[in-house]
Amino acid sequence: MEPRRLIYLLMIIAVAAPVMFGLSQAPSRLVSAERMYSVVDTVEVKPGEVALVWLDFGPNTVAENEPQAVVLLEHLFRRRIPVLLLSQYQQAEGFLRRIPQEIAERLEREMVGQTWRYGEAWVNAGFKPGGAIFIQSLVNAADIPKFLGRDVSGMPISNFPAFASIGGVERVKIVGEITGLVGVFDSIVQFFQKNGYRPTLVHGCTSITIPEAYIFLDSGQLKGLLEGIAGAAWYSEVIKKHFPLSDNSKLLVTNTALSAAHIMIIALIFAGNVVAFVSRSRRSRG
Amino acid sequence: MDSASLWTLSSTLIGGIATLAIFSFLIRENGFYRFFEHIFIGVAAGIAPMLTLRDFLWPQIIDPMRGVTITTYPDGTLSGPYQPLYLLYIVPMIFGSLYYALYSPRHAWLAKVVIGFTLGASGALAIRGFFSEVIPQLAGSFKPLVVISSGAISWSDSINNVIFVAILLLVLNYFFFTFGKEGSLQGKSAPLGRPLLMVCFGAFFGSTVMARLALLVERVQFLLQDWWTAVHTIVGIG
Amino acid sequence: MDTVSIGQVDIRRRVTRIATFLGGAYFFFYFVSPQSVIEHWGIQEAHEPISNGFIVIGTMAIGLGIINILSTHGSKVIFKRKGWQYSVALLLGFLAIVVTTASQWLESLRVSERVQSVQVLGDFAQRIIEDDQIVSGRREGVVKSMSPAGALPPLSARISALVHYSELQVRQIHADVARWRITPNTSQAQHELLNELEQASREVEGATVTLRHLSSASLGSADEGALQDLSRKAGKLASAFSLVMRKNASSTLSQRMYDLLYNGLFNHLGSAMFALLGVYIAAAAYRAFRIRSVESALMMIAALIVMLGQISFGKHLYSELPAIRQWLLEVPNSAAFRAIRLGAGVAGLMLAIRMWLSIESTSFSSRSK
Repeated sequence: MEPRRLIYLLMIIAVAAPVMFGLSQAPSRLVSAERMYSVVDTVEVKPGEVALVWLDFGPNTVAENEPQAVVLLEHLFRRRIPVLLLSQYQQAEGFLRRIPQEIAERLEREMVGQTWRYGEAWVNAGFKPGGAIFIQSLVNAADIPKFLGRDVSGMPISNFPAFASIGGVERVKIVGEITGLVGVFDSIVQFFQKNGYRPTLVHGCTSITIPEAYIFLDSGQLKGLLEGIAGAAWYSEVIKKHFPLSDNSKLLVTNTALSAAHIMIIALIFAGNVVAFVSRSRRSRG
Repeated sequence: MDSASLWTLSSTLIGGIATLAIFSFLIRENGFYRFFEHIFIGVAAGIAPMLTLRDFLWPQIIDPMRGVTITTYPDGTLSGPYQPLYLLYIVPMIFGSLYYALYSPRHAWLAKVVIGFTLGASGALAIRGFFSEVIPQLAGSFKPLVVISSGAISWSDSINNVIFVAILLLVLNYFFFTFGKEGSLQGKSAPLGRPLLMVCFGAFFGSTVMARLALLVERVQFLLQDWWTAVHTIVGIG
Repeated sequence: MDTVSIGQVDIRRRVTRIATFLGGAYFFFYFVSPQSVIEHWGIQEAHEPISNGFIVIGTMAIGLGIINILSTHGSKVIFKRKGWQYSVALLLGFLAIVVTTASQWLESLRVSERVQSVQVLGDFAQRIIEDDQIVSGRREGVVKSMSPAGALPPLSARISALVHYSELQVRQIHADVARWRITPNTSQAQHELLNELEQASREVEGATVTLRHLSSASLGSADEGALQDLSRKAGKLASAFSLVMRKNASSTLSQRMYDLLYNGLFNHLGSAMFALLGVYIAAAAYRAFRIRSVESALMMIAALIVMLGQISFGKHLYSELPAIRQWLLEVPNSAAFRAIRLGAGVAGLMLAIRMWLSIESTSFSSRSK
């Protein structure tokens, strides 16, 4: 077998083994995820105020962004904060419909007798093109439900009582941006503010943009950060600490498989360097 | 098995077959892979314009122009007057149609007009965005070099801030090519920025590895859990 | 090939530069102008439609990709060039998603129209109150309702229309509920939603009965209370109805086909394509990541700390590894990255200004020979 294909096989085995055997380790503690939990848990949201969550990801970053979206929305649902969902990316359309519905059904199974209904717990405003132009227009709107118009099923958003009286951006207390796309998060940072008012901004990023996101955490423009799957895994552990019936077993298996894959990569880097060193020594001797 | 479960099962089975088709590329390029690759491109190409039309152009532009947003009440009255100003949306529609002048060699230059217009708008937004984003970053860079907490010096915070400011200045200095003589303090300290950049790139690389591996883990997990269960269900039914 | 005179080139370049400047001028002046000036000139109200206009200009380009794909792969199929079979697959995928999205869209329009017909009930009741208050001078403002006949119908006629419409809607909903209850595979959750819908429609029915006897020329406070009650209950009815309709819409053929294409094919294919990168990075790790100098060693050490600090095994190797990783990201990495960002930000600002003012005009300055 070619070395290249052997490496592929080793990699797949390293990832598959924890999944096949259901191996699950406690995730590494990530301070940024803990801080984000604390921020989301303590933001004061009065009746009529909402959270605005952007799911700006597609199949290319779903592996990291979907768990982040799940833990953030779960936390907001548990706090009974109405969530306005939308996206600047067409490929997120299915996630906007599926993810909150699954979370609502899971919470209703966990807490029998309580309901999380579409129109009360969340509304899906769908895909909104325009990028920065759209964001600055949204922020300047005096009546956000009227500005957004209808949800994806054609119902005027202002018909839903939990969202009818939002008014302007001052009543959006939390903005969550879950994305792996370049430039999208920057647009939110740059334009989601009005007359000195900035809502609490939290961000779920793919691992590639973690180093970049830290500079916004440092400057205070970002209040909470989920660092890839590891961030989502630790966040889910913190949720579980407060809500023991919450189920994050699948995410922990994913995180463990990811850890195994990392070990394999480190081993391959080490092996590659050793092989290169040995062959260099042989060449210099011979 | 009810119809909802059957559809979910079908979706999972097709998804698994599609995933295996793409993964077959690891062995070598083959027709199976190319077939699904082309389907993916076709579906991706179709989703974007349809959703743009469905979620934006039709409800927010065309419907108001048609007056469909006005409700007719049971007594025949209307919820409000028709706003003829909505018809002005025809102007950007016509202007945006200049993109298609690209297909005419004689009039292709008209496409540059609309591209230029869009670039101009992007430029102006970028100017505004720069100040909104960078000013807080600059403000956040002026960290106190001695941090006093509860009446005493917090040595860990102070050292961290000193390191932060030093690295920031050194890396900024590294990128100043337009002034500074060799042999001066600026010239001598410029090379120090490079190893610090390497630390930054190392962190970047470490994070990139996690991002790429996460995608692989998700697919493998799907194949081994969801898809395998679906296959078992079908075999069980068969 | 058409020859173009230098004069024409100059005019074209000038037109393009003017368009580029105008494109940016609106947003630039909107952002720098004081709020009082913006409101005084009515720009605040016009900002949303103007922004929408800019977005419309961008979205008009959606056809370019479609034309390109259809012409490239269509010609491959028609002239049976190499790989034409794959082009058939591409075009079929394209057609399938367009047809299913359109079909699902039409279905959702039908659903929203039906839900709106119930929503109108509450809106109409509310509008009757508002119009009567304005007409009788109890509220300031202009009557928003418009009548094709000119004057608004008399109050008694409006209330009669409201009652008649409410009874019609309630009858229709009762018939719908009876039909849905006997549909096979109706889940327990759907039955509960239907129960709530029936309850809401009975409440609307009760509120409508109170209004049957209203015949005064102007609304008293009790009459307004009855209308408010109907409006509120009609709102609840519309919400309950939309939940049921949404649930039903999720199981229609068009929605299922769309989900099959989107979730079953598109999502899985996209994820799989990018998952290959995970495998490639393993090969690259073995073959290409060489430590050849002090700088590359520094880079590798930082990478190892970040990788080991974020995985669950890392804390077993050294318990402080996550904390070291956190420090590395918060201090040295943030400092270096901020410096990069500041530099790149200034460069971006310069480029944006040059682009807006067409100083970067090489792309617009092609000259014909």
